[in-house]
Amino acid sequence: MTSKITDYLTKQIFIEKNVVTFRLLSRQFNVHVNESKNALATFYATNATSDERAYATYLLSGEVPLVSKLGSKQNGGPAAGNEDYIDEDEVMEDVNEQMDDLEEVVPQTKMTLAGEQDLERAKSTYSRIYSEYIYCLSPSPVHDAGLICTSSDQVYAADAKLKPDVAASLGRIIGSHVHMGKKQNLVASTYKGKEPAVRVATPVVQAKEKTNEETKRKELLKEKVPAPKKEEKEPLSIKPKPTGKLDWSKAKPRGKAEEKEPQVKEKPSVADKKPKEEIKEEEEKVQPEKKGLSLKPKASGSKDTIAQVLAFKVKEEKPTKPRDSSNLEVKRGQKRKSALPADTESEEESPPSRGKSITPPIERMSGLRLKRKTVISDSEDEDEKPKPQPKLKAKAKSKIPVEIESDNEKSLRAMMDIDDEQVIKASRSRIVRAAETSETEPDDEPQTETQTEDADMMDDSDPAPKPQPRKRKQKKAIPVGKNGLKKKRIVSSRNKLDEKGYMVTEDYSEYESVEEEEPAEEVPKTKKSVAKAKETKSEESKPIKAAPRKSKSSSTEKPKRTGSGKGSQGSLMNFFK
Amino acid sequence: MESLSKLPVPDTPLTRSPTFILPLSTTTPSFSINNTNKSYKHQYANIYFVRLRILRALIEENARKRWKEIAGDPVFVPRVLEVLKGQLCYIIGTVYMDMPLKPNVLDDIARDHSIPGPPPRQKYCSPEDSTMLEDESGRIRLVGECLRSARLVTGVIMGALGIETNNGDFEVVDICFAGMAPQPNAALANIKDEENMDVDDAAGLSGSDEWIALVSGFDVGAPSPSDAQLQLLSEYLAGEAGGFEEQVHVSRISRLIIAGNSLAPVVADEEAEKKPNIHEHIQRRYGYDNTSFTPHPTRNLSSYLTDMARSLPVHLLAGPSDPSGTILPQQPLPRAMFGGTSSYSSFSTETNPTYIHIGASSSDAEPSTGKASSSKTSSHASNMPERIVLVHSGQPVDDMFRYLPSPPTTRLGIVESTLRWRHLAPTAPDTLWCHPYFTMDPFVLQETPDIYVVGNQPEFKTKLVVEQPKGEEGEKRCRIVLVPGFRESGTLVLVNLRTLAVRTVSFAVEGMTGGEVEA
Repeated sequence: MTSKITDYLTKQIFIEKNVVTFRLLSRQFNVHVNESKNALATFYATNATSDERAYATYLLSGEVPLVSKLGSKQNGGPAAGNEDYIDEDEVMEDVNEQMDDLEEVVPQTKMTLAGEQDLERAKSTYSRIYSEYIYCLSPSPVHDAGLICTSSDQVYAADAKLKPDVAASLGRIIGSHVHMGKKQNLVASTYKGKEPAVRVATPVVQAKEKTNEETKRKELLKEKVPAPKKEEKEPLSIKPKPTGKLDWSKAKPRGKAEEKEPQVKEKPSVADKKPKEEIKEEEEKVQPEKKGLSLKPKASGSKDTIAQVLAFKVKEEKPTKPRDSSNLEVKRGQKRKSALPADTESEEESPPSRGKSITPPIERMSGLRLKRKTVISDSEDEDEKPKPQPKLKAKAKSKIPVEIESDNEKSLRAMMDIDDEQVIKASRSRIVRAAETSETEPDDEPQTETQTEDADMMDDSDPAPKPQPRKRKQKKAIPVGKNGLKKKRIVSSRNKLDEKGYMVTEDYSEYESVEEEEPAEEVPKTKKSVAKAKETKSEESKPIKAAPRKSKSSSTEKPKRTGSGKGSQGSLMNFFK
Repeated sequence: MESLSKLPVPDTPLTRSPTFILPLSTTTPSFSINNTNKSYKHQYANIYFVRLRILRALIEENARKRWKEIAGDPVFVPRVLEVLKGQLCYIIGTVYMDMPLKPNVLDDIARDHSIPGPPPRQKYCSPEDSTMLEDESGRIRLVGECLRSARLVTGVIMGALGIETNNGDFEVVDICFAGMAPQPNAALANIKDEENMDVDDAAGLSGSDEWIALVSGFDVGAPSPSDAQLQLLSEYLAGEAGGFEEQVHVSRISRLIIAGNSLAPVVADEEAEKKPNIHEHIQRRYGYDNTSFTPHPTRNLSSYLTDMARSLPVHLLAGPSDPSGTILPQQPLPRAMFGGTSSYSSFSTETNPTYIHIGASSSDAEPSTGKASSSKTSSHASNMPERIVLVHSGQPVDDMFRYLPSPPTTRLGIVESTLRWRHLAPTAPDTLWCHPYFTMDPFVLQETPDIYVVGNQPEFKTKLVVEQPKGEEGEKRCRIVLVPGFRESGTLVLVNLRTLAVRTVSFAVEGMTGGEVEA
């Protein structure tokens, strides 16, 4: 080893004229840095007398006398003062002195890099020397200190390949609290980014919910449906249930994962052929989430698969965004709250699909088809015959086996648990759809069924795949607004001068037909109410000065806008301007 | 040539004392600008309003205690404009320094833009300065001797005791601040200090206490670089420099905080300023001088940082010369900027200013850390109390320093004052740019930090500020550390997390050219 080191040093210093630092030597030969320092010293000592000698640069470390520090400390600092303004005020001086006297003098360790020619001079500045060793050897005296860095690239390159434990054996002191990997966000809970945490929490909640879903379901049955609905962000709280369901399931594929849609598309055709009985079986399989992606496409499972794919995806995202568990816990708690409403949702929604699955007869299917047609026509003459929805629901419920419902529940929960952010993003299209469905929903049972079908994008019991593509088209077209079937939402922007004379561009949306506007308004209002609540709260704590402005701005609002949810948001925005 | 004594090689590698970052509490808020406050639309008046609202009650209480026994029975006047003529009273409001030399945005607008603007002033203070106190109702001019010694800057909330004079001024007799904020950890810390204080040398590195290293102003990429010192520093922190004894000492250093100015400002090339030649400007077509510009600084910096991050956790704050926004709070530099360093989760880029909550044992919120080192932690946990470290890169102090005449005023004095004012950066948003916060003033100190670090100061200074509140248990102690720029001073500051003792390590070269002024 020693001969190797000697050879290396000879080559580097005398032939290649490089500066060799102890660190470089240590990395080259995988020896401890102290050993490497010793090796440099040995090499230097053996070559000191020869013609071709190496020049040593030392690193001294030790304590410097405190006195010098004190001397330079008095009242000074290179801080550029204003020379022509010096206050002679006695009081000031006194205070100042008082302050400075308390200033502490602290022990100072000094590490000095000195060439061998300057070593003695450097030593003289120390009061006590801890250590002294050869930092590097060079073919000639080092005059530019930057030269010691020439080898650092090699050192860093070597370090990059070293495993921590090996590096430790070379002398690097590695803290056990040094970690590779992605930065963990350790932020105050108040500043937690909500969105990712929710993502993480979702699958967990789902899993938990599933285990005791039966019991929950029973509870929920007892509960009055409308009550939990209020808590929801669900925009359609006022509307009959099926709409809500439709809404969610539609919104989900859109907002969350567009890539999922193709999958969904494919499945219906296969699923159609599946016998009804498989539903139950499938449901059991579904319990472990991973099976959501099972290769067998299932009847009525398509919905499930969507949800599960989603859930799965969510899970996959989890490792990439690790969160501290405490926050997770908080999120979980929150999620659970929202999960409850989701349950109720699903319950409400399940009836139609359940009914479907239970009654396999072909007549029913044909009826379905017929109904579908009627739906289309119905939708045009809007809200003609509002039928009592609750009754239907009750009926359906009583018929339905528990398991199937839970199946539905699951999927819906998954939908509901999708990122809040995603949901919001999808809101626009949802609004439109909601409006659409609001027309159709008052129709009787068959209709709701078709809607469910839409939501699922497939129905196992449906023998005729033909209608489905049509439905899909419709669905897609509506949000775009090209399909003039129902209401069209027009989003446009206008410029106007505000009170200050600034040009303000604002987007506003309207629905073409007046009847539709009502439901549309409802949607943003309820949805945003949560967020807004925060805002308003902060407003209250806001400076008084701001208050008059606010009222003013709101009063200047056009009456039309203030009425609608969008409008209220607009007014707030105006206020913040 | 004398033969050097052989350096011993340790049988087992040394291990570094671990410390852990704990989540911040609401009294030590994060300074990150997130979705809730990212709007730039708000008026700055809100900050003053919020600040006054937060601190007024505290000052009122203090003032009542302080002045209740004064002859003349001073009354509290809630609005500054309603002071009673000829009667001793006290008012609370925000200080506004009316300074002719202070930059004024209106002057800036009115300025003739065909003429290059005057260079920024080193000092705003002049004999013509006057002090005002304002609240929602208006402002009143303050006069009196005690104002001069009080060293006030714009934005400080204070109470003033005095009498309105005939010409409408308020003659101040005494002033009152909010005083140091509570220090929740203090009681615990003090008990432990007393137990151990005399056992081992407080300033020595020999004990088993955890230390943190503070440094600022690497100025990588500056015309006269301090690469050698920087390399020495990274070797020192890695525990590879020095003798065995020092390596043991280094193993006590638990983490490194870099308080700004890691990169030198690119634009500040002195040569271009020296010769404002037209041809020079043509050369600098791409916004920088081709001859002197190099894209290497970030790469160099990240290689040093990587070297350090391999050994210990590093906290990096943005500073005035870093490529970051100028308004406070400066947001964290993107991790990706630092190449290999970013692969360390223990490397964190922080806001400027920032609170860092350090504990001896990991919190539950950090499961991976806890798992890795719980066994070691337990042995250390008893020694060190949790510490709140408040760090900023120096802009607030630099700005306040312009308001006040020096010699009499020192930077250390200003920093100490900020503790008593309970405000980190009172001159924001007047002369110090800051984010237009709407519902909060994050610079209000709701909790006295244990260690208060100010980066990029011309000189190293430190002071332990101790306040013993009357009638309350537990004294408040805050270790103030002014960290000098590393390029100029080569100084690394070490602070003992248990005793709050301080020592410095400086890196220098002798007889060589290097960043530092040669001895």
